[in-house]
Amino acid sequence: MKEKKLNLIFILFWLIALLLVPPLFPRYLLHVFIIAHIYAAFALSWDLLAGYVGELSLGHSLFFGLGAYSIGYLSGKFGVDPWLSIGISCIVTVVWGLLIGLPCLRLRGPYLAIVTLAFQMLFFLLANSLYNLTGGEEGIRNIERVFNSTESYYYLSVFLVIIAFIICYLLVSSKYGLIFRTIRENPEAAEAAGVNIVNYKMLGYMVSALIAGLAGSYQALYLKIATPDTLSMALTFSAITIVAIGGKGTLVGAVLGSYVTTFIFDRFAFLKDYKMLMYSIVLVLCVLFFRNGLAGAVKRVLLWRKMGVDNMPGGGKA
Amino acid sequence: MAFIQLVISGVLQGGLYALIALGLTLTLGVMRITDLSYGVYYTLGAYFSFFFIIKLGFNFVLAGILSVVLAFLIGLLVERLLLRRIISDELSVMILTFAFAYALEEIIVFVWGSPFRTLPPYAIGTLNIGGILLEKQRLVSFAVAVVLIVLVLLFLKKTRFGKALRMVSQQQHGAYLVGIDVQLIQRLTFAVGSFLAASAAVLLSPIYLVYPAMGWSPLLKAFGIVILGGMGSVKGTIIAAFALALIEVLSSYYINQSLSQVSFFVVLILVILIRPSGLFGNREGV
Repeated sequence: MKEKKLNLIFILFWLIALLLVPPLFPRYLLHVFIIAHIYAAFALSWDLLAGYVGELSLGHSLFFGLGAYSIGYLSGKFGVDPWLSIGISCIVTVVWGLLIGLPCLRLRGPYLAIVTLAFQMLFFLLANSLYNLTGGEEGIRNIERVFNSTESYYYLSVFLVIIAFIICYLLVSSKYGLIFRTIRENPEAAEAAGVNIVNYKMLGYMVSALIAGLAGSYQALYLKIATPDTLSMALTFSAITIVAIGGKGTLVGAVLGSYVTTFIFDRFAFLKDYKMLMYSIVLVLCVLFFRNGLAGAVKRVLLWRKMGVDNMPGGGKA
Repeated sequence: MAFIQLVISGVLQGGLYALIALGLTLTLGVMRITDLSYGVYYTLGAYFSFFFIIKLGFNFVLAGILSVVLAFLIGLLVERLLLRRIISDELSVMILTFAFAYALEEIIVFVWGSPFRTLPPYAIGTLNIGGILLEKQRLVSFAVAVVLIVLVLLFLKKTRFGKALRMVSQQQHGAYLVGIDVQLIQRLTFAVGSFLAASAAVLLSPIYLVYPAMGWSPLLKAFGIVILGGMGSVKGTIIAAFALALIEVLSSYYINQSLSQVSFFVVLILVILIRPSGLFGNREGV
């Protein structure tokens, strides 16, 4: 149970640190934090699915983009109240999650990964080519401004990422999380114990789609534009890399990873052109040599003193 | 007449789909992994032949052979250096192959730039047989594809290596027990898959545009074909490839041009809903 304590301490420190940012740091850093929070929420949603349920969603930006375009349509084209359109965009993403999840999650194997990838590419294509409906590459502009100050947007982003973290954390540390891990490690055993695998996978998938959609909606509200980039493979890829750097299946890792990467690319702006090249190479290296990520490394340092005889493999019990 | 014309172009397309999907079905059956980098060998095949033909001025036969041999060697290396370490972990394999595909795409952008390229056709003109128009380029590509497919099938049926490959696909532990070098078979199968994807690209690059992200669409289509035909069934894969090509060509003519992309997804989802094991699949092996 050391892990639970660490996680609670982490949330507390994190929240205090975030509330201290606006008074202490220059205005421009707020923007960087906001971007990091959007990525963090999106990466969290991917980690929930890949790290706990054990399903890969390789077209996860589909949900991010659906959230962004819902806001774009409702607020930008039809002038619906932005707060109401967030609610509607959540419903839209969850319904799409159901439509994709229902056929694919009944099957074992790579079906979900391939079908989400296919849908993401299809939607990306449509968003780019159906100029009359989606504005093509320009995207949908004229999204209504909700706040006047960057600070307010910042606090909303803090709210978004903390809520996303708490939802994921509560889900994975509850009985559901245990069932998720059982399904991931040994589906036959889970089934034999009377667990309806499909229902639990659906639950994880819905929550993941919802959080990804929220991140997309928030980005559309903040940038006041919804472009095809929100549906791109590069975005999914960024989330996967962030989670891999931070550590898959830890939740904390997704947050750490997104701060680290966002701040590196902010500090060294000349790297921007090579962002995806670096991400892809880093991801390959992480999968091969750095499986536990930053969170794994940090945890090992923090728990190191406790690693007495009884935590050694094979030791303690004899 | 239009219908006959459409069916013929569907068949011509289907031969190349079959070639692409065949490599994937072998890899899936023998290695039991989901290789998301399969499309990258298609991209590499096209870019290698672009490099050899346009930049170095080789003739197309030499360029094509060099391209597919290079793809074969890269397949060998990738299996040995990247996949072998993590082959038992399904999720890691998928993430790694996805990352590798993306990395190569970015490297291609880095080396050759991102603009769309075209390659000169190696057979110019059209044949007119009783009012049916046939592009010579497509005919040549189809013929080469069929020859390659037949060679692979004969190889699977007749040679010792082919027999061992089918054994690994059906019963990996059994193959291991009777002394088959499973790792070697898997490595060579992976390389043969890369070879087939690259050869499809060499045959198709004079027809379609060449660009860094060109590999994703064949990857998804190949997966769709393999799912439709039934995982691990070579016969099913080939039939499904022709069926899918015909559906695409006919639906784009009779319903809507932009529907050819969407019809593929509709078919795929329907198959997953109604018969997830595919047309000929009960995991019977290759």
